Amino acid sequence: MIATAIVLLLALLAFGLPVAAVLAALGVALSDIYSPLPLTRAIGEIAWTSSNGFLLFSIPLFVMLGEILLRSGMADRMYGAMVQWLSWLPGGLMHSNIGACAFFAATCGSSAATAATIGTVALPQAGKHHYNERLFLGSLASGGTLGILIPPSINMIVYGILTDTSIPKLYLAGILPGVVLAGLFMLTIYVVCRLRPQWGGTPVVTSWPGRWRSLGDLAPPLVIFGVIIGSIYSGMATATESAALGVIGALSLAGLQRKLTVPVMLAVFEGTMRTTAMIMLILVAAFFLNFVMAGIGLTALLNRYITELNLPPYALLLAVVIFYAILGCFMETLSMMVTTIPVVTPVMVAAGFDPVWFGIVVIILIELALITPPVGLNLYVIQGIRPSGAVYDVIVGALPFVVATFAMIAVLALVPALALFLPAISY
Amino acid sequence: MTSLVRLTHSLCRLMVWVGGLIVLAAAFLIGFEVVIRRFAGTTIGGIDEVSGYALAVSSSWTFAFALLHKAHVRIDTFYLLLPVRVRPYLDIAALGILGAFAALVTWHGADVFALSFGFSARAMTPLATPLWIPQGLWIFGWCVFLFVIALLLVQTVAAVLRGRTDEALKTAGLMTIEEELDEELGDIRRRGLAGESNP
Repeated sequence: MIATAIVLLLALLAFGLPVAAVLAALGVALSDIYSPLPLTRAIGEIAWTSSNGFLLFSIPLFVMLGEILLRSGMADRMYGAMVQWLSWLPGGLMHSNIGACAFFAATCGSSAATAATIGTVALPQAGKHHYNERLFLGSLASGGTLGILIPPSINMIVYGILTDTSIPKLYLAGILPGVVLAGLFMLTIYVVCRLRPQWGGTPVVTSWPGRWRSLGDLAPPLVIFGVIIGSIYSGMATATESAALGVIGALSLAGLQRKLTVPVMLAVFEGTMRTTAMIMLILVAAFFLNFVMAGIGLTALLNRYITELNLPPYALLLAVVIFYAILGCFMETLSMMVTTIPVVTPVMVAAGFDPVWFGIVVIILIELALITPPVGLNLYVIQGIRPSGAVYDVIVGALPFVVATFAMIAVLALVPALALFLPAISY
Repeated sequence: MTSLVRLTHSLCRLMVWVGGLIVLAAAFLIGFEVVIRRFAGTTIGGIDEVSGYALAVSSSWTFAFALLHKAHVRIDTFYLLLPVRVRPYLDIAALGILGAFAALVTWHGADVFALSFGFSARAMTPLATPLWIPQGLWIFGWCVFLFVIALLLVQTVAAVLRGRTDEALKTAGLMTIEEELDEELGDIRRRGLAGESNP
């Protein structure tokens, strides 16, 4: 049964068929082969109930928030402030790239949007200051992945919904690992530029008065972060409500910058809804497949099978990390999440891992998937901003950061408190 | 045929704008609710329920638009290894399986709608919404989606029969990286490129 399911899934996906339709087809096939009841008939009811949840409504809201911020002009000035504060380090502006990505990530729930926004602002600087272009590109593609680790995060919402884990707890759990990962990225740049000083570019002129003046430019992202995270933890708003407040905040910000016009809003609508439709179609199919898998006992069977292997927990974790690292090279990240998480998470929880902690590990593995070739969205996002050159440059430039991301998983495995400390003191 | 295609594109774009507007309106409604709950100690009530309907309707109304813009995820690792002439056949298979999925949901979803309508079912909430209204709007989106899949299928098959591989790929092929970036980044990308060319 397990083998049938996996072979069918991989064969259909490999032929480039739409992921949502493949998941549904797998559900129908499993139901026809293994279920005495016609589970397929429930697909109408499942499609309706799964697409009208209030929690899921946070997805279009966060997508819209990102779409508005992308066009608000906030990123340009924020990047300027990061240049003032961070560019004195060996590696110069590349540290500003990571810092700006981390700040933007605190307002935006998507990695592609983070990389695109900061990348557009930063990239013209690479040539001007004679940086090693590859490493510069890599720092942007990798810094962008922080978008889903530092809350808010669309991927955390998807994880939370698929596994019934508290989204506020996941948000809190992501903050410290997000900061540490940003630090590891900067450490990577520092070490590389110590070994190869000529890669570090020419210094940018900064000054203390300039630094103090630039602090004000960091206020908008902090305000949005404060609205979203603050409203949740003060008990004023739920996760979805905080997203709505974030949208309103971003609109006000864009309005103040005089960026709100009818064509901009229509572009925001189209971008938001296109992404939302893509996510929702996959989720509807995934909910149906999960219903069938639970119905025919596949989930339980798989769970028992892995439990009977009797692996020590850390061997199990290692297996999961390797599994995701390989899968992430070839699979788009949302598809990877909805197909694997409902099966893998119960196994990990049964082995004694905390579901919130494991959620953070999964998010970091997703970040890894975003910068590993051949399928790594952020690599292509950054490549797309360049006027010319081969995508190979971005892939090579991201490699040191791939190492740093693996190191982050090791850190998290050794010090689980990094993720669990903040949720523990707040609840 | 061409005018039908153009009409469909316009309809889908209009439905997307309505969907976006619904989401934005719901965002403001939710914001208003949070504020009056916090500061006036009262609630409008039923906002969560309405937002749920907003999501169901706005997303089903966008499925077709997303298809026209090739946003529904397909995995291209093996697809791109195949000769260009073979790819349209996979695209036809992709539309076929997507059509089967959409037909299945639309068929059984219409049952859900018909039952609510027949029994005048109401939501078990304070609002007691007559369920056929949101469900009807929702199933309408699926019907349009199904129609657009059929339309693209006819276009692609016709293109293949006439030996026009390029046309077939443009209609139904997997997004090239170039197209994907235009969709993903849109104006910000053009802005970045413009900034580079005149420093």
